[in-house]
Parts: sequence; structure tokens; C-alpha cells
Amino acid sequence: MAEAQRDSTSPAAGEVPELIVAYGDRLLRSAYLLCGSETDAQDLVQETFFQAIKSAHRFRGESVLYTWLHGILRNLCHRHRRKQKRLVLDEERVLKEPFQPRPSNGADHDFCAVELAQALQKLSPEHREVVVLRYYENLPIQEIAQQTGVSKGTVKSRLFYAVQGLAQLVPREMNLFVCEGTYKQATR
Amino acid sequence: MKCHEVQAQLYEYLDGALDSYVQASVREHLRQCNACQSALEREKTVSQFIRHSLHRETAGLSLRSGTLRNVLQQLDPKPIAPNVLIVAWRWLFSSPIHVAGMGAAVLGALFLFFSVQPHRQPSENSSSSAIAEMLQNTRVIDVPIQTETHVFHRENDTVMDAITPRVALGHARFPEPEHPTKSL
Repeated sequence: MAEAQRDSTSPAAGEVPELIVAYGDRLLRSAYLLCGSETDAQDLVQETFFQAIKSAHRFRGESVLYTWLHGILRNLCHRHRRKQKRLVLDEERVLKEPFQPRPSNGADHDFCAVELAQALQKLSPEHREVVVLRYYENLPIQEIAQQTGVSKGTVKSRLFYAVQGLAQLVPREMNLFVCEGTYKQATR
Repeated sequence: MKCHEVQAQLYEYLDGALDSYVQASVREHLRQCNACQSALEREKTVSQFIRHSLHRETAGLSLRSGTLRNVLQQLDPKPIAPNVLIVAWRWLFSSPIHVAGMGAAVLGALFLFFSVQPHRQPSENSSSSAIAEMLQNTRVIDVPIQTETHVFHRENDTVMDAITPRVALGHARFPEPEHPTKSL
């Protein structure tokens, strides 16, 4: 009950420690998937909390607090991406800073997870965003459409092409993707 | 309900976002249609695979310890001390009396400066003329054997050390004026 009440009220500066404990790691993981760099993700999440407290009066309680925070985070990710594009050409950035999978010990090493995370970073920002929102954040199509400002059809289309892209980028031996997506079949 | 209609709404069906009537129709179609059933299963498999992989990849990430401190610092920055020059400039032009006072002070300073300058000139001249007069009777003689430079002073026909004038080095004649420097 208390959690639900906090989720619908605007955050205050005094609540920063609670907010960080409650949502910090979750936002960080999402930011990492969206931008592909742990350092950038840390900075973006920090800026997210700062922006959230600064513009707390804008939170109207129409969505849960995490969704609102995640919206701020996505806007910051977009801005960060635009800034990076201005600094260097995409090709140069890929050559200089290739996506580095996070180090993991031998026992926990998950080949599929690493391959998929690498493949995700090779998708376009729009496709990567819908994959993260749909499969990582577990959001329904309707909410993804609202958050990204596009129609439900566009979200489904992006999901289809994103999954197709991942299927091509992930090694065939994993063989967990299908050649035909549901949306493509449905539109035929 | 036809297959393409069902498969176009599979995402919403999985979300439970369809009207109850449509939801029931899709469920009924899925029971009878293997193709649509397998499309649904594929979507579930892909969804599970991606979700599991991404959660696994990011499981070890945690927010750095300094985040809270940095956010609080950003929210409550230290007040910036106003620039002294800006404050002085604003104070100066806040009243015509200040401007007049400042003008008078500048004029006074200029008057003092130019009135002191002529008094300094003779003292400089006297010291420089004394040096010039002293140099007329002074020769610098290079001693290459000792690789030292001595400064000698002439008093009549006696050669004196210029640094310690009491020491008389002997009698000698100075060279002609056109060859002021010569080894002894």
C-alpha cells in the first residue's frame, strides 16, 4: 500500500536515497542495454535522478514512478546519442569503442547472453528501444506506443524487424529465433 | 476469426489487452489452429530467450556508491561568491556621487604622479653621471692565464685594485685610449 502510494506521488529531494535504493539498479541495467556502456549508463542514471527531483512538479501520478523515471532516462539516452553523433561519426565510434561485454567468471559465463547483448547494440536505436521496453521492461504494446510516441502498428513492426535483426546477428547454433515473426505472418 | 486477424493481435492477446469477447475468440481459434498456436509458442520462446539473456547479462550491474552524494551535491550547489569587480562596478554606477568621487580620485592620483616625476629625474642623472665619470678612469683588463677578470683603477701612475682600492698593484702605464683592454 505504501509502495503504491509512493508510486503515485511526486518525489521530493529528501526521498533521493529511497529512490536510488528502489530504482537505481533497475534503471542502470536498462540504461546499459540502451546505450551499451556501463560508464555512460552510470552517468545517465545519476542525471535521471537529478532531473526527476528538479522536475518533480511535472509528475502527475498518471503512471507509476518507475515508468516516469524510465521516460526521463530514455530522453537522456536520446540526447546522449545525439551528442555522440555530433562528436564523432558512427563508423569511427564503432571502430574506436566496440561494445565490450561485461566480464564474467567462467561459471556464470553465458554465451547466449553475451552474444545477444552484443547483437542488441548493433540494432538501430529505435529497434533496440522497443526490444528493451518489450522484453526487458515487459511493457505491453499499448504502453510502448505511448512512451515512444508512435502507433501500435509501428511498435509491432519495429519489434518484428528487431527480432529479425537479432536472429541474423546471433549465431545460428543458438537457433532460438524463428525465421518468420508473428507480425509479418499476420500482415500477409 | 481468420488466421491473419489472430496473428495480428497476438501481442495484445499475450498482454491481455483485448476486449473480453475478442480475447475469447482468439483463444478459441488458437485451440483449433496449429499454425497460429505455433506462432504463439514461437513468440513466447523468443520473448523468454531475450528476457532471460538480457537479465543474465545485466545481473551483475549495480549503481556506483557515489551516486547519492553526487545527486545531492547537484541539487544543493554551494552559492557562488559574487565577483568583486562586478560588485564594485555596480556600486560605482549606483549613484552620481560615486561617479564624481571616483573621477576626483583619479584626477588627484594623476596630479600626484606627474608632480613627483620631475623630482626623480635629477637623482637619476646624478647617479648615472657619477658612474660615467668613474668609468673614465677605470679599465677592465683581462688576465687570460688566471682566467679571471680584474678591475683596476688608475691613481696618477699607480695601478690600484678597483674593488679594494687600498691595495696598490704597482706602477704601470695605461695603454693608449684606442686600445683600452690589454693583458698584463
